[in-house]
Amino acid sequence: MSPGNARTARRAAILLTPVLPLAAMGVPGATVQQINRAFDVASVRIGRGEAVHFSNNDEFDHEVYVDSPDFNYESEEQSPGQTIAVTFTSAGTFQVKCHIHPKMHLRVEVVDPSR
Amino acid sequence: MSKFVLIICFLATALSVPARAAETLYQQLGAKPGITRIVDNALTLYFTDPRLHDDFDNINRDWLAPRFVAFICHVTDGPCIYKGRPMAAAHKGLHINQARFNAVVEDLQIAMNQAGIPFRMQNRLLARLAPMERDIVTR
Repeated sequence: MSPGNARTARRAAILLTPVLPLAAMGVPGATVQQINRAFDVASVRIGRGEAVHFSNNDEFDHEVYVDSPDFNYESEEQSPGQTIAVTFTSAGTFQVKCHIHPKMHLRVEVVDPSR
Repeated sequence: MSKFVLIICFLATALSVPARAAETLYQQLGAKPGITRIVDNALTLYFTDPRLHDDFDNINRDWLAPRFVAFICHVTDGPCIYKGRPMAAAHKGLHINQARFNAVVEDLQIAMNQAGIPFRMQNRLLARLAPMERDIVTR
């Protein structure tokens, strides 16, 4: 590759960076799919203050919640295709469940970045 | 004396008919306690009916029950406000076929029998629900 072509390639890479998926850019947090009345992973690990993005890929509603002494969250009914972000403000290990589908369980480990 | 008794009986019957006729289906089904009984019976059947296993497996009965009661209350002219989604939206993606819909109706009839609902009232409720078939059966 000539020096001119290399420069062009570097510029192209810089220009393309903003359109890469967030995960590929190393953006903190995690994305979890809701599919077939289940979460697509059993657990995720994030930093305190980061969010888990729940993406409803089912054709019916979900309604996630966290019920713990350190952190509580209740979503509205989440329509098909809708993504919601849940920001975990406390460190610890939390179980995310679905009010509608009781077999759905996700373990979220939230670590304190300062430690 | 017997004529007097007959007249009293006739008047009592005549006077009671308009009051009965003015009752909503909600009241005729026993209002909230009666509908709750029907729904409880129906859900017990739905959750154990092998024909409906795929529909009710991994569904939270405690989440569903109050919504089902509110829905029946609403369609029978009761004082409840149904906040759930319309039938078409609520059942979209569940791919319910005619056989499973029929199973739900059969179980509901059994549930109403168990609750002691007279046949005529059962038919009145089923008549209210029947038009929703086209929104629920998608396969």
